[in-house]
Amino acid sequence: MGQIKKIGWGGCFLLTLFLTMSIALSIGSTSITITDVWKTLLGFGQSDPATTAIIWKIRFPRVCIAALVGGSLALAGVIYQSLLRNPLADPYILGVSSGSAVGAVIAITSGWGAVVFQGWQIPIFSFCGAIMALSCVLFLSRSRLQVQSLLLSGVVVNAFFAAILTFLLSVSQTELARIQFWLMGSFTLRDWDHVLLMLPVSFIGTFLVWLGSRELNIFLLGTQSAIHIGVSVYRTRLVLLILASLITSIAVSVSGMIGFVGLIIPHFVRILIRTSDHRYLLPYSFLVGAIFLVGSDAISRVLFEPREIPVGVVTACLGAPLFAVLLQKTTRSLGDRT
Amino acid sequence: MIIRGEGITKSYGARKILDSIDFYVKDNEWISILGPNGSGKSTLLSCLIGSSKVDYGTIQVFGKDISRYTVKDKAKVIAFLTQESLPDMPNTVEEIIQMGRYAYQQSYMPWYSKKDQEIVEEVMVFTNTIGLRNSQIGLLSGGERQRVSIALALAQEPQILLLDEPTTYLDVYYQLAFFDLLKEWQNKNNTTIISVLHDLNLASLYSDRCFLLHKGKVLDEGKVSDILTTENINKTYQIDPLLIQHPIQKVPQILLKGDFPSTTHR
Repeated sequence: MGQIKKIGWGGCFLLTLFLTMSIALSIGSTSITITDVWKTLLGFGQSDPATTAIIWKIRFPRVCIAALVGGSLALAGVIYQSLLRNPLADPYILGVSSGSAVGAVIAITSGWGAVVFQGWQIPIFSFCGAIMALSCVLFLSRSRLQVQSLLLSGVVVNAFFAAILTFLLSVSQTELARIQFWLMGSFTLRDWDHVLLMLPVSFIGTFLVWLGSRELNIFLLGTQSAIHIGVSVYRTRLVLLILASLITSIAVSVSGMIGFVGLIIPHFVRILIRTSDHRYLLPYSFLVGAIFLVGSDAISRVLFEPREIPVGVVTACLGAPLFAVLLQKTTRSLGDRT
Repeated sequence: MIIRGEGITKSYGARKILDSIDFYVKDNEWISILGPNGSGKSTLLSCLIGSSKVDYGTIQVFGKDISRYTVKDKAKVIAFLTQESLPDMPNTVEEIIQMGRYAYQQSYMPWYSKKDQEIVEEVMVFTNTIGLRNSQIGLLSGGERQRVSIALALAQEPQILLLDEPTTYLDVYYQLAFFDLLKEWQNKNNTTIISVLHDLNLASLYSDRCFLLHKGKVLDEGKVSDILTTENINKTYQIDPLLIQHPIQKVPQILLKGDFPSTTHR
């Protein structure tokens, strides 16, 4: 019975995602009815070319990116929280974010490779930065991948890259606004190319991580117990850490740093579906993360129209009170008091 | 021979914890490793399971060196029960016991086979946790949690069960229940049990043979009635015990003399 209920939640989340995406497609500077949105998407009947252009060229890719980034960040959040056995862990805790920020800022200020890579310049640079930060963390805590040493290495690497970032910001005056907007995270001017980059990473990544959900469940018992049960803890931890960090770095390189999604969505889903079984937790966090970011992005577009506010502001303003209410209402353990 | 260890030596820095220990375990035995704190009991246990590598010497389990077992293969042979109870986690009892089947599961879907479920049901019935199967582990009492720990270990279908002071936090009722349960399981499944115990009386009642460790060496080894002597206990634990024979089981039991340093005449 419990199983049916848990699968039912999946249906609920899918439906909600579908609705949220439809609404997000219909609202904006030009209002389009939801019926027209679907007519355009499915190619039924005559739709006016302006509407088609808005939907296909501007809104749909943007909504897709928001969904994929939101899902990826939430998924990575689940993995980090479970592996580091820390409820405060989020996808940025191991310095992936500051690494990619440094990469992006170098790309923006120097302009290197702008001609060759075109729109890909910032994503490529920030991805390299993220990988660099991750390598530093893994190198620093290479011996046994203990939780403590990972967290400490993350703090060290984060601090180091933050210092470089501050330095770069202080020497570049001309591009400050652009950098600022990137740092706050945004989905403006994202097109199908970005979707095509995110799509395989998100889906393959999610699937691979999901295959590790049994191990993630057993990790809740603690490292020693997991070893005695037969899990190759260090190898599994390394693989999952690298996967989560790759997913995060791709997401960040496409959208900039969007906070809060990776931190609260996993907790939100745990409380909602009342389980910490990662077979459900992983895909459902992906779906809810997608819903949350698509909704937040839609709000960020229309709230102060025609001005767009950074989506990170919306995720925090929306997420913090929502989460606070949920936390108040539940006495259930988050699986972290170990 | 299930386990044969020869010349096991292990140092942490300059301190020698284990000093050329010879250790062997036969089929279906209940072995107790005894000795005061710091005599190397727990280190010996973690060497036996391969968590710590020995500096010198060899440890063979079923004729194969322990370092050559994969983590998974080891889990099919050896289960480990410690004094630490299961952490507070949101999982149900059944979900946790199912984790004990990990080593037997294939890495593709469906992970969980019918046989796995049969064994989980069996150990839940055996450990009397079947009524708790849908309860959250965080809401159970210490004794109930320990029963779940046993079930988790038994679900591994181990041929060897290692116990590291598993009853430290339990009251006397649960201590007895715990040992009775394991004894019953041993008789039923021919499991070999190796336990590290503080309670000499329990060790004397339940184990067939024991090793008495003193400063990293085996001071004495053999049947419990031969090992638990006033002289041995005096030397290792540095107390002056009163040894009596258990009136029914005919094994040695230890009484404390209770001659407190007198303060009334001072």
